[in-house]
Amino acid sequence: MEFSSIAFLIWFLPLCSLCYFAASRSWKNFVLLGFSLLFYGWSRPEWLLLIGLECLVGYGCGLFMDKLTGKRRQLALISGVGIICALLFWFKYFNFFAAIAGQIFNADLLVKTIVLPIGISFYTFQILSYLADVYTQKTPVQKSLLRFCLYVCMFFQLIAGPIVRYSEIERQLDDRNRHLSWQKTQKGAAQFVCGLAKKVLIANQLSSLSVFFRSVSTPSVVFYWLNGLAITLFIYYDFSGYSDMAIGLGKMMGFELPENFDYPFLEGNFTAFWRHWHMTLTRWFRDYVYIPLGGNRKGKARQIFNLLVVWLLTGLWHGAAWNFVLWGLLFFVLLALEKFVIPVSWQKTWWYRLIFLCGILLSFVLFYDDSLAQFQSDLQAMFGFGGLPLTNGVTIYTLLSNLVLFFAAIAGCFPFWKRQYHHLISQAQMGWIEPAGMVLVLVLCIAWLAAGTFNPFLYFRF
Amino acid sequence: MKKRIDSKPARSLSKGTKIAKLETERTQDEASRKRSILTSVLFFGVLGCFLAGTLLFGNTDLSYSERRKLAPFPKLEAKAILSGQWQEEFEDFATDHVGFREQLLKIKSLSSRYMFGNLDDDGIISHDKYLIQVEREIHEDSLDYAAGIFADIVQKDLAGTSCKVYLSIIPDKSYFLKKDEYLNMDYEAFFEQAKEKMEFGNWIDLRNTLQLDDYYYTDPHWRQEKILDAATRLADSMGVRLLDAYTVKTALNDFIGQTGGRTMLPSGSDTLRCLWNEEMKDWTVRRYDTGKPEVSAIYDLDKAQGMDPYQIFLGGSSGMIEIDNPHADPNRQLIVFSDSYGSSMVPLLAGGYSKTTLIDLRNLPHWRLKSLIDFKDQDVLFLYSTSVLNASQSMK
Repeated sequence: MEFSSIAFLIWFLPLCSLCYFAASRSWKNFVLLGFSLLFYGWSRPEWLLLIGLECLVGYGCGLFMDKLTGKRRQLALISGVGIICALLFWFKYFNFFAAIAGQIFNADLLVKTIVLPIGISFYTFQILSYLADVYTQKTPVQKSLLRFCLYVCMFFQLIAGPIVRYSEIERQLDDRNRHLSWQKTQKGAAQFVCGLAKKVLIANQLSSLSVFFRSVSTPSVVFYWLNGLAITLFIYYDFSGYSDMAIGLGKMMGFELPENFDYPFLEGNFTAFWRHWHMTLTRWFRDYVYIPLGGNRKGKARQIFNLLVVWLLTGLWHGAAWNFVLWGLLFFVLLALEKFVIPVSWQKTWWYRLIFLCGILLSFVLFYDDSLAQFQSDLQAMFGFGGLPLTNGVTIYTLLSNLVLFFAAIAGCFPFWKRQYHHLISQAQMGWIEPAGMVLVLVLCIAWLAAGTFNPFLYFRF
Repeated sequence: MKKRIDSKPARSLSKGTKIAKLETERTQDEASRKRSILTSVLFFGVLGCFLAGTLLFGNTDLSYSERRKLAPFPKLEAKAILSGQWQEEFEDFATDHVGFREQLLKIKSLSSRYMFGNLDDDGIISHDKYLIQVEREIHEDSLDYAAGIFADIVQKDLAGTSCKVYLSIIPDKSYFLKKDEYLNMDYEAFFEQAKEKMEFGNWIDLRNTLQLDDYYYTDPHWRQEKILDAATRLADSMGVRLLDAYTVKTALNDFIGQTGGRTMLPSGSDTLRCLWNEEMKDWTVRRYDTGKPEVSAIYDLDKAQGMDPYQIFLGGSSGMIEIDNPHADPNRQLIVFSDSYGSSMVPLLAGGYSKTTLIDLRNLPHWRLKSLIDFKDQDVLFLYSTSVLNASQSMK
């Protein structure tokens, strides 16, 4: 089930909210876990066995680490991390590496029955974060199985993040520390509707536009760049929209989840971009891979190696395919260049910003394309090596027909509008704008969903 | 001392200001609290309204505006639940039965056009109140496929007979747009290519007998009461005479056609009419939906109230429909291969033939023809619309 579906909006959310708000404090966690399991097992109930197993492994290893010392404690950590990573490897990466091995040894090693469980990358990282935090004693062990399962399974952040570190949510898992208020509900509802609009009104349209791009037999060079722009904006709105919905839902239910996106395209270089794009993932890799590997404390060569490992893993985290590996390596090269080669003064110039924006656009074309061959052909067409005209009627029609969409999507990448909106609603006589606007946007989103418009789900890959 | 005296009113002013400030803050907090309550209640209220709308009004089986059956509530079975199939079907049910769906579809369509400024709604445009599904590309492979099937029929079924073969293409509404308008395809090139690929009969050109107002506003089809010129052109080319006069019968006012059901863009209003001549009472119509002949009617007016009112013409498409006309020259018979456009044209052409057979290759595979029809000396007309020829994969 997706947040941006009628089944979720009209059935699941009202029923879940009703039960959650009506339940007494001591029952709230049970209600939330029950609905989270219903949400997760909705499309394939057998996945509940997997997530149940992972919860038991994480919870059990945590308890062992708490009771044991020395090498046995270390063994508990290694066992937990090993089992959790092995499950991730089996479901997500086995066929990728089996295909490589198959090519080398000329054998068919693929297991065609493997289906990628939705959200496995997200909850695997959450459990790993818990095990690491408990091992390093940054946080006490969770003795309640209910609360631990809730940490892993909370439906709003289960399948598309944000990736919550155990230490930052540990207190909130105790229902006595969670406070519900009208203000939180209002803020949560507003953020949810904002995310829903990003997803339904912007991202879905951009995605159907990129499908249309592929169907056109007479494209042009500008057409390919428009496609690149549509893809880049689609990925941003899809992802940040989903994150906003998750954070908003969490807020309504009394949880404070970390923000995941902070106007990343405003940054002028790739390093800063990653401080504002999928922030919880970047932070996870920094805290649990880069720093434990030594970070920048063991010399330049080691730092470069550490960066390589982090970006290779970042690429692979997004998907088990060569274009994701290449995508990760591309960012490794760009970030290493910015760190060690390109002077900081250059990185503040307008032309570097232009290079940055083109680089981001190309990187997302690589991210989105189905294969490296398709990316190669897209790249050739974009740089005029495809024998295509610079522009043509189809390009102009597509641009004109989607001008408002592109304008809205680009404008939404700047915080100006958000600031203006907050300034407007802070005025006493304008208090009605927020509730009225929210109702309007919510109805509009439901209308687009009811019409069965294109509603792709990017997260099945992750 | 002076300073102390000066500071007194300042302090008392500060106290007053503080009180006023506190009062303002309290008022603001109260306003903010009220707004929070209002926003929260409205959020859940809207969702609750749609849920209530679904429960109260969402129990319809058909969507007349979209001309389709809505997804039913899935049967609760353990096997279906465990496989996830029940959940998938429930999501379809939830989407199809959401409360106030018709209004929501209208909102979507209008916001797509007027808020986002999309020049078309999934390829549909509103041009002079005509809803037109724009044909954007010539699908040469589709033309080849259709030409291949027609050639197969000519070579396998008609070779060695005295049948005369005629071909004609019905331009769809998109033909009447300018080339490249809304990315409209090059229709002249389409007709040229079709002629080149289908060189096995006499071509009858209908283009200058038709105008955009010969078609419905909300449906892709032509209006039977407006295609007498086209029918006369076909009849003259095949050497037969149509009936002398017709009366126009209204089958349905406020007819919303196929395209009208897919978009809420502004359009003109349609009336579904048919042409009637008293001679038609003596005609016999047989449909072969199930393989066995079933007596039917030239116009099945009951279908005007159904999901697809255009099916009043010959009762809708079927693999094979035969019309016997006892008043016509017994030596003249016609076999028409056509799509849904043919079902409104054939009742007019049947006036000149003792037996008219309408074949829809989308419902009847062409390799079965020999076992069903005795090809001898009939006129054989391939009458297809541009839209079907450009997407002919459904032909068998």
